[in-house]
Amino acid sequence: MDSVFAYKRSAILLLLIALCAGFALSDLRIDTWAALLPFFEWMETTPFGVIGKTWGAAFAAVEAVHLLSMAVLGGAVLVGDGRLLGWVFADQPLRQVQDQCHRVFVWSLAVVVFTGVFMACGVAMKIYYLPVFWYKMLALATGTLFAFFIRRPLVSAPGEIAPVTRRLVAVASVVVWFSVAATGRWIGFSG
Amino acid sequence: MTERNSKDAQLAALLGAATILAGAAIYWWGQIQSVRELLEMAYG
Repeated sequence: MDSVFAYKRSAILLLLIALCAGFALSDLRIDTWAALLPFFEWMETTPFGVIGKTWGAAFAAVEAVHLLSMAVLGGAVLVGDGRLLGWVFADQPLRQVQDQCHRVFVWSLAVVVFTGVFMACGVAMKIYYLPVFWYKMLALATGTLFAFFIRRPLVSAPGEIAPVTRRLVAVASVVVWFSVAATGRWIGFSG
Repeated sequence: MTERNSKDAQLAALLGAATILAGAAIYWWGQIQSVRELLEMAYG
C-alpha cells in the first residue's frame, strides 16, 4: 500500500488514462455530446456570440490576437522543449530556462483560451458538429494538464532527469501543442 | 521534493509522454490515411 502512495502522481495518471479510454469507447461520449447541444446554442446568444456573428471585423481582430498568442505559446514550448533536448540555450541552467518559458507559456495560454472562447461563441453551432474541434479540445486539455501536472513538476524536481524521460517529455510536449495548432487551423478550413 | 517524489514525477512523465505519443500517432495516422483515400478517389 505504501508503494502506491509513493507513486501517487503516476497512479492518478493511470486512473485518468483508464477513465478517458472508457469514456471514449463507451456510449457516454455520444450522450455527453448530445447533452452539450443546448450549451452551444446558448453560446451563440451571449454578447460574445452576437458580436462574433454580426461584427466580422471584431471577430477578425480577436482571431489575430488568438493566432499571435498561439505563436508566442508555440515559441515558449519550442524553447523550453528545445532546452530539454539540449538543442538550444544548452549553456544556460535548465531550471532558469524552464521558469522563464513557463511564465510566457502561462500568460499566452490565458490569452489563447480567452480569445478562443470569444471565437467559439461566434461559430458555436458550426464547431459543435465538427469532429476536429473536439479533437482540438482534447489536445488542448491534454497539453495543459501535461504542462502543469507532469512536465512542470518534472523540471522543478531536484536531481538529474533520465535522458530518455527528458527526450520523451520534450517530444510529447511539442507533438501535443503542434496538434492543438494544426487542428485549430483545420477548423478554419472546415464547415 | 524528496527523492521518492522525484521518481514518481519521472515515472508519471514517462507514462504521460508515452500515452500522448501513442494517441498522436493513432490520430495522425488516421488523418493521413483519410487524406490518401480522398486523393485516390479524386485522382485514381
